[in-house]
Amino acid sequence: MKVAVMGDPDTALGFKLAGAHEVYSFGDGPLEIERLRNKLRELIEAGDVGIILITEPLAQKIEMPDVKFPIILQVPDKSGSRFGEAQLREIVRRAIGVELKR
Amino acid sequence: MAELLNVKPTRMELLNLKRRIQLAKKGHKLLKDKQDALIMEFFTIYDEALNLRRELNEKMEVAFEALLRAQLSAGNLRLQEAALSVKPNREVEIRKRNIMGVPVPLIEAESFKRAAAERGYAFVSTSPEVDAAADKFEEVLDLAVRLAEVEETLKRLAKEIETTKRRVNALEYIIIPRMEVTVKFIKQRLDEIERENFFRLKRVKALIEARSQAGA
Repeated sequence: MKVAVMGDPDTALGFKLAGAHEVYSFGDGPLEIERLRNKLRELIEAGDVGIILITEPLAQKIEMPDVKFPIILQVPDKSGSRFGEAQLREIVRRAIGVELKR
Repeated sequence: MAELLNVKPTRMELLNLKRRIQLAKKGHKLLKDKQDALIMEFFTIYDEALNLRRELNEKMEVAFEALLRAQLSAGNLRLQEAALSVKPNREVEIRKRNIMGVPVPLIEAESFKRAAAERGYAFVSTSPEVDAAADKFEEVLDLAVRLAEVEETLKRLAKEIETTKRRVNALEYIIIPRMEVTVKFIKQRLDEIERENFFRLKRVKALIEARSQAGA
């Protein structure tokens, strides 16, 4: 199954060099966000995409669909990670009821 | 105070309820065990996810630095040209696996790392920095695929723990107490009927005795 990447132009370029199967780059602006939303839906419905990597800033801009397949993973972009660990902590807090420091 | 179940206070119902309480308690114990096991599993995976996350962040930083160098040495336009001619990498295989009855994904992927010659761009128009950047991003891709599996597993386990917790609590704090209160109610009611009956018999006996004395 394919690995798809959605990110800003630089991230897209990097993953394209690595040979990710489908790479889409998005800029800022309302039209781009609309395009992002449509593309994400399209990728989810495509069926042959197994993993979608999406940069954290882009993921923050749209509501992430709650699907079991494909797997959607948020990756940091060139400005570094801001939400990755916080999201993990949030999952733990919801499941266990207390926050953990590790 | 738990409210009563809407049942008639009969011996039949009492027996029924007692059986149901036993069943509910058994179910509660099983669910509680399941919850404990899930939480233990969850923590192992949580540690793994956290480590992978941190590693990914570091690798990503390194990769972007390499990309920047490539952009500087080859020029953005040429780099984009090179990226266009890169051959797609290997595909991944996604299977399912069970942890405590929770379906979680299992991703089978070979390493995305390739030799520079396999990538498909022309060496004449690129530089070693481009190779380095591609190399680093292949590493990131490897890591991201592993993290995808672990994080998805974590999410599903978390969801399962939530529903199990809800069920355990519902049994423990609502369903079982409610049935117990009802059992108590039925017992009291039955005792009451018993006493009424006893008194009625005594009364009848007294009446009969009084009548037979009057007759004699």
